[in-house]
Amino acid sequence: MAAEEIAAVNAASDLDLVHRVQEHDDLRAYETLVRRYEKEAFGLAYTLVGDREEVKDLLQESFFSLYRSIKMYRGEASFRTYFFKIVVNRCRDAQRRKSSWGKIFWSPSADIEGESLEGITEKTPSDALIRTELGREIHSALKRLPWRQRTVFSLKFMEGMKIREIAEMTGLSEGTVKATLFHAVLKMRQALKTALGLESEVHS
Amino acid sequence: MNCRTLQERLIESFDQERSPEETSHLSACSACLGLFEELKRFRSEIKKAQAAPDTAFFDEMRRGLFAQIRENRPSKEIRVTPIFRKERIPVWAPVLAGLLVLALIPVLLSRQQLPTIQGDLAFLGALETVEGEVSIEVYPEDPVLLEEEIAITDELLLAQSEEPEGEVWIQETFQLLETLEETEDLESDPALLEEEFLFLDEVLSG
Repeated sequence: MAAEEIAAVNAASDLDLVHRVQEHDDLRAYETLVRRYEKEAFGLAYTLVGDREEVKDLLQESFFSLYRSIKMYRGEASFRTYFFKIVVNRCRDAQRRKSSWGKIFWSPSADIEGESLEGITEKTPSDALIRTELGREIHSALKRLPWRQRTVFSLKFMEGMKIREIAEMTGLSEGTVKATLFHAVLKMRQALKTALGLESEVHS
Repeated sequence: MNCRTLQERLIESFDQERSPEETSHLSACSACLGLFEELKRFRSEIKKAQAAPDTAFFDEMRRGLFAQIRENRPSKEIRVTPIFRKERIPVWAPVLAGLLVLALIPVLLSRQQLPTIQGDLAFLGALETVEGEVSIEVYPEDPVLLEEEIAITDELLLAQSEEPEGEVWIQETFQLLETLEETEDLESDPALLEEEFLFLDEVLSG
């Protein structure tokens, strides 16, 4: 492929790339989409699942699902929202399988303080924050949140989504998203009160 | 503006521009200002934690992904018929399909609000409706493409033509079926089957 063509693919909008995949099964266009969203998707999935290797599998599954269902995408929601919904669903399914089968009992303290954490910290320098006390506290507190609160909180604080976008993605009403977010923040602040040195009071 | 109102606004939109009224309140209220600063710090710390792994992680993920895609690219398009791959129908499938459709009708009719996003239908392959008929691109490596899924698809597409919200129904039903498909011992575990139905009901009722 000529350099100009590569540049054109890289500069194309999400929708243009989607159309290339839909109409021509253009894998280069698809790879551009993957590269464009893989890091953000990692951040989201890692917050929700908390295991680096599992996240890798979930990302692959999510991108594969996206590829196979991409003809269904008609541009009504933003591509990012559409894809993140797939990621969240995959993470939720993985979580449900764990709890359904009891293969891995979800134990936040064990994950954060035990072997899982050691596995994470040794893998890449970019996971360095986990080594800090505050990083541990944040991840531990996130994992203690109920699934819906964790999802809404992550989408807001990590992905910077607007309430309307979160509502669109999760299928919840905006009011429910706001209430869920409010409670999640209260719980996170309570959990991190000592670590962050929090003093101010939130009116619940 | 009272503290509660402002604090709700801060939590909902701490990363956006503050209105003059909010700024005025913040300058006069240490509790709200404290919360505002804490939320920003919170975001900052979480963003640090979000740092992505090195490129090798993503290279490996992409290699696996594109190998999987190449193995599963659509090779042909077929017209769905009632006798399609009949030999692969599990014994419990028709009963499950019937129960599912019956259970969903009242739930769907009573719903006040439904999500509008189309979901992940991937396990079945790309699904299209062509002039009222069902057309499915078959992925030759698919481990399972069960006839009852096709039958349900037909039913659901019919419902979709009559009910705009049917698309959501399809999405949730497929998610359920996908889960069931991954569940090896479902047949011998009625409690799990019931749990799946309860979950679907919960999803559909928002």
